[in-house]
Amino acid sequence: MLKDITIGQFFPGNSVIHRMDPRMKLILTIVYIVIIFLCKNFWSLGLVVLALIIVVALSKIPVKVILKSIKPIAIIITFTAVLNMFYVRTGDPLLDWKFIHITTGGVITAVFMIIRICALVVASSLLTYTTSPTLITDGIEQLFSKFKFMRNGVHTIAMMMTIALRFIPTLIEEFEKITNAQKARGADLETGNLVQRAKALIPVLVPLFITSFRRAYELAFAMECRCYHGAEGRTRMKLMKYTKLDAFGFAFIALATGGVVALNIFFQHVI
Amino acid sequence: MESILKFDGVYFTYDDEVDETQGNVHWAVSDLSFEVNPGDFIAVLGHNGSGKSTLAKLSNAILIPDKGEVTVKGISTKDEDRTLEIRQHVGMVFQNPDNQIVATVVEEDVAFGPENLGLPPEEIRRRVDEALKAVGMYEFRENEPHKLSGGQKQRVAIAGIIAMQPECVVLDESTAMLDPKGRREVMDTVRKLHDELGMAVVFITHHMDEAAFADKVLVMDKGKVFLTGTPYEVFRHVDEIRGVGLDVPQATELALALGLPGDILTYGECADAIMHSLEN
Ligand SMILES: Nc1ncnc2c1ncn2[C@@H]1O[C@H](COP(=O)(O)OP(=O)(O)OP(=O)(O)O)[C@@H](O)[C@H]1O
Ligand SMILES: [Mg+2]
Repeated sequence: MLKDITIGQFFPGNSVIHRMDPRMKLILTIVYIVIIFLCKNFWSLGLVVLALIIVVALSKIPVKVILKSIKPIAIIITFTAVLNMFYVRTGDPLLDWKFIHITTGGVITAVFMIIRICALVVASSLLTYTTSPTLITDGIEQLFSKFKFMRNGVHTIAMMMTIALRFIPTLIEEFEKITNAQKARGADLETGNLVQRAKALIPVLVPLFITSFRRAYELAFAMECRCYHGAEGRTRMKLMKYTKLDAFGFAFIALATGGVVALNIFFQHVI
Repeated sequence: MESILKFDGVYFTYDDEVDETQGNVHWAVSDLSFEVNPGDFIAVLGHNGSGKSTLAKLSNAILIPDKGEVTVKGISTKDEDRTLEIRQHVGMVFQNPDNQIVATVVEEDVAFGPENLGLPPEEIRRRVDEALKAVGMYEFRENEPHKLSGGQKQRVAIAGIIAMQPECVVLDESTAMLDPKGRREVMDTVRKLHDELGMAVVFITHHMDEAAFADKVLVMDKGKVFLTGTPYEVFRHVDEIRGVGLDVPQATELALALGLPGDILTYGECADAIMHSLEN
C-alpha cells in the first residue's frame, strides 16, 4: 500500500554506520566530499575510493541499492566526461581526426570526473540510506544550535521538515481517499494524454489543498496549546550523544584526509 | 478553594469591528459565566454553532474575550506575558487526532509539550513514560502515529497534554471522529484521568450518554448557557432540550415516560428501576 512507503531513501538497519551519531555522519560526509576534490593523482583518488568501499561494506547496504543511486545521474556523468574529453587540451595527443582532438590530459580529467561524481553521490546517498529523515533533521538542528545566531532559523526549518515528514503519509492517505471518491463519481484519471490526465487531477488536488490549509490551521492551534513558542527556551528529550563509534568514524576520515594530502605531496600531480 | 478556570460574563465575537450601538453584533458566545473547580467533570452540550469550540478556545488564551474575563488559577487570559503559564494549566485536546500530532514517533510527540516548557531531558523522559502509561499507549511509544487507529491517536494526543501536567483538560468533541470502540477507549481514558489523577475535565460532546458521567452539565444554545445542573436535572427537561436540537439519553427518556423514580441516566439504572417497580 502507498501508506507504507519509506520516506526519502532510508534503509533501516543496525550496522555500525546506522548507529553512528547523525551529526557526526553529516560532518564526516561533508569532509569526505571535500577530500574527494582534493585528490590530485590516482594514488590519492584510489585511497578515497577504498575508504568509501570500506564504509559501504560496513553499512551492509546491498551493492545493488548503491548502484541504483548512481543511475539517475548516469547521463550527467557521461555528458561531463565526454565534454571534458573534448575540451581539455593538455598532455600528449591521442587522437587527431577532423575536428576531434583527444589528449591524455582530457582522458585523465574525464576519468577523474566520473570517479569523483560517483563517489560524491554514493557518499551522500549512504548518509540518507543509513539515517532516517527524522534523525537527519534533528541532527542538523542540534548541530547548528551551538551557533546562537543561526539557532532560530535552523530550528524553524527543522520544525517545518519534521511536520512535513509527519504529514506525508496522512496526505497520501487523503489523496487516495479523494481519488477513490472522484472515481466513484465517474472521474477518469488513468486514460488520455498528459494534458487530459493533468486536468483530471484538478478535482483531486483542489480538495487536497483545501483540507491541507484547514489542517495547518488546526495544527497551529494545537501547537500553541502545547506551549510552542519557537526555539527560545525549548529543550529536547533525546539529546544526541557521541559514542566510541563516532570517535572511530572521525579517526577514519581524519586518516583518509591525511593519507590524501600525503599521497598528493608524494606522487606527481596528474590533474 | 480557588477555582482552576473561571468565566465571568464573557462575550466574544469573530466579527472584526464591534459596534454595539448598531445592535447587530454576532456574538459567538455571550454572557457566559461558570467555574471549574479542582476535580470537576463538566460536560458541555450544544448543537452545531452554539459556541462550544469558542468556549474551549477562550479557556486557554487562544481567543481573548471582547467583554468580561476568563481567569485560569487567578491569571487573566488578557495577561499576555503569562499565556504559557495558562496553557500549561489548561490543556486542550481537539477533534481530529491527525491534526494535533506533531512528531513522527509517538513518544517524541508526547515530549513536544514538556520540551516547549524547557524541562530537563530526564524530567521529560519521566513525564512522557508516565503519560503514555496513563493512557495505555506505553507499548506503542516507538510507533509511527499514522499507523495507529483513531482511538489510539487520540489517546496519544491526550498523553501529549497530560505530560504537561495541567490541572484541567478541555476536550473539544474529541470523540466525534471515532468509531464506537475508539470512543469507548477515549472515554475510559478521560474518566481515568479524572478519577485517578484528579484532573478537572471539561468535556465538550454531541453524545448525551457521554455527558451522563459528568458532575455538571452545561447546555449551550446560541452562545448562551441554556440549562445547567447535574445530568439528571438537565435531562429532565426533555422538551427544552429537544427544542435546542439535542436529544436526552434514551434511558432517561424511557424512565421519565414510565414515571420511574430516581435519577436515571444509563441503561443499567433504567433496567434496575423497571425491575424494582415490577417487584413491588
Ligand atoms: N473562525 C471563525 N470565524 C468566524 N466565525 C466563526 C469562526 N468559528 C466559529 N464561528 C462562528 O461562531 C459561532 C460559534 O461557533 P463554534 O465553533 O464555537 O460552535 P460549536 O458549538 O463548536 O459548533 P460545532 O458543534 O459545529 O463544533 C458560529 O456561529 C460560527 O459560525
Ligand atoms: Mg466545535
